Amino acid sequence: MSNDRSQREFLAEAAEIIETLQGGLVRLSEERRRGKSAPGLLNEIFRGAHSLKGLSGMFGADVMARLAHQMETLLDGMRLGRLVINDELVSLLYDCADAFSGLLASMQQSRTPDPRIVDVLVERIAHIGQATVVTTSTSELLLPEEALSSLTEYEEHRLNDNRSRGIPLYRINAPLPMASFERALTDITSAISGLGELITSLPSTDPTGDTLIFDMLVASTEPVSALEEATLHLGAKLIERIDRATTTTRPAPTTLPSRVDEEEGAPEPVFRHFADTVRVDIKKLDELMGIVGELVLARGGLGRVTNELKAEIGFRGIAVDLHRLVRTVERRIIDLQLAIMQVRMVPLGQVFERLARAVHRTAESLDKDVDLHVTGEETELDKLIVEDLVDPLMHLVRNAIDHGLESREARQAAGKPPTGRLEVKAFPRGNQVVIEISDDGRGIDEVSVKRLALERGLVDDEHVGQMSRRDVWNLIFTPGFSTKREVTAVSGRGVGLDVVKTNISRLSGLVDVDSVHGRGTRFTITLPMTLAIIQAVITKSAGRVYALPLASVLEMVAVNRKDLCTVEGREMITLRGQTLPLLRLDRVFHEGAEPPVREDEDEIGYAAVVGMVQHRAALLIDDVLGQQDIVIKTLGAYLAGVRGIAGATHLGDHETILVLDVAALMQDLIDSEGALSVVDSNRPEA
Amino acid sequence: MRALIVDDSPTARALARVALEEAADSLGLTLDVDEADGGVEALRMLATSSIEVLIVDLHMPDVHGLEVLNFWRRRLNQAVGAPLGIAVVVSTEVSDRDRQKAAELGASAFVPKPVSGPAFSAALSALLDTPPAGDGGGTP
Repeated sequence: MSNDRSQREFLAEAAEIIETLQGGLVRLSEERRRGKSAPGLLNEIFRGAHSLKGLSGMFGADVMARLAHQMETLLDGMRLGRLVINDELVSLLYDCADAFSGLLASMQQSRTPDPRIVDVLVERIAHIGQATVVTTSTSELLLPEEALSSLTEYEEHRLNDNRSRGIPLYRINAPLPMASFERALTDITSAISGLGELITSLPSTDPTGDTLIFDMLVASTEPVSALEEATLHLGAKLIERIDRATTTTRPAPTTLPSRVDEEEGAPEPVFRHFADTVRVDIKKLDELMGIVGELVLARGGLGRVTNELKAEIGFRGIAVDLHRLVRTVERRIIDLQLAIMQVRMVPLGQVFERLARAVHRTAESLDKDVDLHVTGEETELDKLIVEDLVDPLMHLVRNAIDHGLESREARQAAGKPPTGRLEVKAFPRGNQVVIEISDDGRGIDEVSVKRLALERGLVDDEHVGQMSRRDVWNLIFTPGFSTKREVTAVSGRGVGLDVVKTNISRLSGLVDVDSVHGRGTRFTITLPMTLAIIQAVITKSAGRVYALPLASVLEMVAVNRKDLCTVEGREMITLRGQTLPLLRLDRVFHEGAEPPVREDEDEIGYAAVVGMVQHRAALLIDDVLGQQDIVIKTLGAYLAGVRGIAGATHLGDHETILVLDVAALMQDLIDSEGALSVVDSNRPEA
Repeated sequence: MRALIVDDSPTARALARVALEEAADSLGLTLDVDEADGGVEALRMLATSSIEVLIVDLHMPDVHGLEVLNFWRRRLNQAVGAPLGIAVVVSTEVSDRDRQKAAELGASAFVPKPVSGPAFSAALSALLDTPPAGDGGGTP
């Protein structure tokens, strides 16, 4: 492995482990909230810390290795019952997990990680002493010596712990056919984990070698009949009790700081996914997508030849056959495109897990009660989009808890339940994915926002009176709108929301805000499902053909000369009573060519109403040529710096056109005229 | 000789492979190195092909390394404590108890992570002087 590559793989694997570890912690908190301990989960988190220690050790990431080592020791104590889990410990684990994220981020940016944060954590961990637990022997179990010989310390502890609490222990014997044991094993273990704790699966072979025999040791309070019902049809042959049923001796509780969580057959995580996934560099998928793009082009050529052939006398029959074949190829290419796109898709659940963690921590630190409702975890988005989505979503969620939701007292005074409700909802809509984050907090106070915007010089007196409510709300996305101190006291919103806006627009997404004062606020983020292939409107503007990403287009309307007006020297267009700034591409790109003069006509073309985040503008186009899926190719270094162009794409027939970057165009427009992008329609023409 | 590296971490497997191949070169051994990404896959490979050198990690999410060892031992019909073909347990430090168990189950050496060529060749060369008991390599 080259150094660079192995470093990348190290970072990727570390990121994966940290994510699993953090997900485990969230689930651990949930189980604890339900009053359950989750030994299997604890073991899974332990394994995460252990793997991370090994991995970072291998790569000389000493700071990370040191923390992982300490965290592992801590978790080892917890899983072996030497330490009793309490809020302080869980909080410490969360802090360790956060520190890992931080360390990883600095390594990803090739910065040397700051060891100080680790010093503090190591110090905290050192203060937690571990009690010693007298381990009793497992030899009293009705198990062959041979089976006992491979039990790990942890497994022995789990057996003993269950036994000491009077939870019956069973051996489930399952001879599974060699040909398909992996699948059968997954099925049985997941069936068991719904009924109790699967402590271990001891494998052996029969003399013929056609069968793998698993002895699963299970702790369960369910009746034997339930275990039988769940496992016999999956291949289990024998279920027997292995603890002496008469166990009554509960050892005296050890001197531990707080109570031991009781657990009654909590559902356990099963054997995690077996070897049915591969990790692929996303660049390779981009290459694949590029090849598909070439195929699309080749198909275009084929279609043209077919048409030419049709015109030739005597070739009509062949041309029809060929046409049919071309159609088949075309359909397959579409399937291929979809399949590759599918590979890039990951469920939002991963991000939502991290959000849940942030909610937990933010609520804790602000001493607020928050009920988080998450729906649509299964909604899928392009991997690249998901990665860039984490920060803005985190921001919005923290913001909602910090500034949206009121304190318990304030909520009660307002006649609301003391526990705030935070809803995160994702769902697909056509080719897009919508994510809504809503709270039932205090909402946005229009008056305060206006006042603040005036104070900060973001709007002037004249305009502010004419702004619609939506425009007012959208002011919170303006850079410099607020500082933390003021927004907490005044509007309850706005900390760094301009950053959220920037991030979302970089993903070609839109963000909208809706609020009812005193009742709550909802942020709606709309994103394209993937960035690799996008739907585009092929347009002609000022004599040139451009592809306009459909995700940025809100609507297309025919424009008459009378719809145009000029406000303060700026061309505007009036649309259903709303005035939007007009964008002319020839002016944006400083092209010399004059637009075609159509003085005699009323209809001067079309306007594509485009949006970026909360801003809207109308892009004047001469003609709409069609709509199609395009693969964006980046421009070479020479042209990469041209503002307003996202890349190029092939249209077939060897025609290459430019793809517009609506976000950049809008940004320039906004920069050129300040924050105000929408002016009231009732203003007289200047 | 056929070797199998069992570790759920792809990076750890890649590094172990480099170290093992380096060790084999220095000892003049011809090793055919296979990989399993966890206990379950290891079970299949140990059950269906003859492996002579097993490099196994302990903490894996599906089947624990000790159980993989025990499975191999039982498959070779060996008594507890008898050395296996060549089984090297690779792990960051674990409890003495688990380490002792690994030895009882026939592990021939314990190489701490991060692994290195010299560490493997030390483990392998010590073993080559004393040919393993039993049928040594599993049934074909």
